[in-house]
Amino acid sequence: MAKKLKIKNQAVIEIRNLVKTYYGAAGETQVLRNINFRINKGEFVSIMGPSGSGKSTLMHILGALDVATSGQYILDGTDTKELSEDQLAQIRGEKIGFVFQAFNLLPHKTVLQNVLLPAVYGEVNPQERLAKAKELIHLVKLDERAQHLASQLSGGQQQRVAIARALMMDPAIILADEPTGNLPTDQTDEVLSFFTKLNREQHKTIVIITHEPAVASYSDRTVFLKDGLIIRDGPANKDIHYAEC
Amino acid sequence: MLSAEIFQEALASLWQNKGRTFLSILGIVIGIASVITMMAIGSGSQAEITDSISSLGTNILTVSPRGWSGGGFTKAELETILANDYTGVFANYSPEVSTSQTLSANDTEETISLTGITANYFDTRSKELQLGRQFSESEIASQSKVIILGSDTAETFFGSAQASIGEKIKVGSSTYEVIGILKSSGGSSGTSQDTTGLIPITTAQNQLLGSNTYGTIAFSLKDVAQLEKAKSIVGYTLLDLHNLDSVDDADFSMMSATDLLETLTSVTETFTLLLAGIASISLLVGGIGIMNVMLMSVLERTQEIGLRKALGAKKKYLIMQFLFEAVLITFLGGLIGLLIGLIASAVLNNFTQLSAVISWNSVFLAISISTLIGLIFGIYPANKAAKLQPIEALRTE
Repeated sequence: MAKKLKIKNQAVIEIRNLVKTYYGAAGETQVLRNINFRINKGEFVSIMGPSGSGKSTLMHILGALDVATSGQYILDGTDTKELSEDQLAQIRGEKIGFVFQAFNLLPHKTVLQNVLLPAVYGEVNPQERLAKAKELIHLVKLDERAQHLASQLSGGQQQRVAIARALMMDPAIILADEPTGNLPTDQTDEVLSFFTKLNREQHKTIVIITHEPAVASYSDRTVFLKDGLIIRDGPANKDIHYAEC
Repeated sequence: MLSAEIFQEALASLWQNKGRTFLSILGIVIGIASVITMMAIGSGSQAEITDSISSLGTNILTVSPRGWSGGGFTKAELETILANDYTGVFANYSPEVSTSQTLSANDTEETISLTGITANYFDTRSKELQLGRQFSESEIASQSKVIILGSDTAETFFGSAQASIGEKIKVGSSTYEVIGILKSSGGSSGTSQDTTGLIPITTAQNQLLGSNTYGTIAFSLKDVAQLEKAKSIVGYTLLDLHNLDSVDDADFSMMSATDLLETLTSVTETFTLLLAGIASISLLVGGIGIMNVMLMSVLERTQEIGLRKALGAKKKYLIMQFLFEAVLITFLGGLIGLLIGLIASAVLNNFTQLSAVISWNSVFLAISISTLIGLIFGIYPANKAAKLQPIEALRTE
């Protein structure tokens, strides 16, 4: 693991001069052009932008699923630049809790098995992880569903399982990519309120990537991305019009 | 601890895809079943050949004239050979002649091979009678028309061994008296040694062949390990007596069951290998089938693989999971194939003329080869899964 760097103000995410270039048949495309920002511990941040703005690419880099072409990304004190694939996998397992738009549960496994999975790869001892998983399933109010198959749950319930799974390893950040994109409206609020609760009561650092201002309004701070550049970074505000981004 | 969990995952995943698992197992099942059966047939025929050759006596060296032109060996030649055995390699010896004759009795007629023998025959060849008596010295000296029959021959002419004793049987136009019946050699093969007849050597030489040479001389050895020494005594004596310089010119040939066994064993081993080799091709095809199914499975599960990677799965865990799956499939296929091979061998044994012998070797080989196939053909798909980039994998929706 790369050496721990001292970051002031407990920054969980520190991004400096980050550039991501794709090299394709059509030549090179700069998707992210010199991005700089930081997210402190306990912040609830939304990243917004129209499609093609580079927000998915940014999410992949934040999630250590992809690496930057140049620039620095320091996650919870670890510079991700020099890490091998397996070290990145370990970082993802330990420091990042993913919540995906499509939930991405293993459909043939039970709720409990799904929640346990990160701890299996993290080699947490069986008693400890079972206790933790049960606690989290209780937290997302699915106790009675613990032995149901993931595929038997509603979308909202599945996303709650995904949130419990994301919390399994006590990650430095929860990274949610359009977490309500596949949910009916009535379940959207349920899931988003849950993020708010996690942030307020447990001081979890949460980053939500979305293109919906309504979703972003649950957060405290919104980072706007357009054409690979940050065009606005400030308090979340329902009055900001989508057209602006 | 982790590998046990990954093993369970692999097992669960095979169970979830029962249909696909079954189809991918088929190739290995057929491959292993055919290898097992083919090897069993090979070993079976080898055992049968070994059996029937061993019943000829493995400690016996026989010498015969080469080709049909050779007149045979004289009594003087035999005596010189025996005189040259200074160290006492030979336990006994039996000069013999053989002739094909038509026998008839009770309206039955059959052409069989008759052997003219001396009193030494039984001891040298380890033969025993089940009924009656051997030839007396005087019968041999006086060219008596007495005959000892093989058990099958006795049955052919007189219905049973008991009924044969004292009966008359015609050899050509002369009448012989049956005085003894040989013990059955128990060979199950078609070339039974129980279809035979023995008569005094003098009778055969003077009344049937008109020559007083020996067609074959059999020497029994005190120790099979002395076979080579026995061969050189017989060989060099005869070369010397026949005024020949080199073994290549020899006008006689020596044969022992041990030699024959060696030759035939190497033939049947080649035969077994050939059968197993042909069957292995189906194993290879089965292995490629496994690889295809596993590749398809990797493709189908791209998203799952991406998710596992996002949740912290390192490369080795994914490699392990897919390798476990492949090995489980082939191991299971090996077991089922083994079972089918055992059943097929039993069926061959009981319902056909073929004999099939299953050896522990082939069982061990089948299981280890099938497992190995899983490893070999699982590596490529497993690697492919482990190398998937998590973003590529998660993108597939």
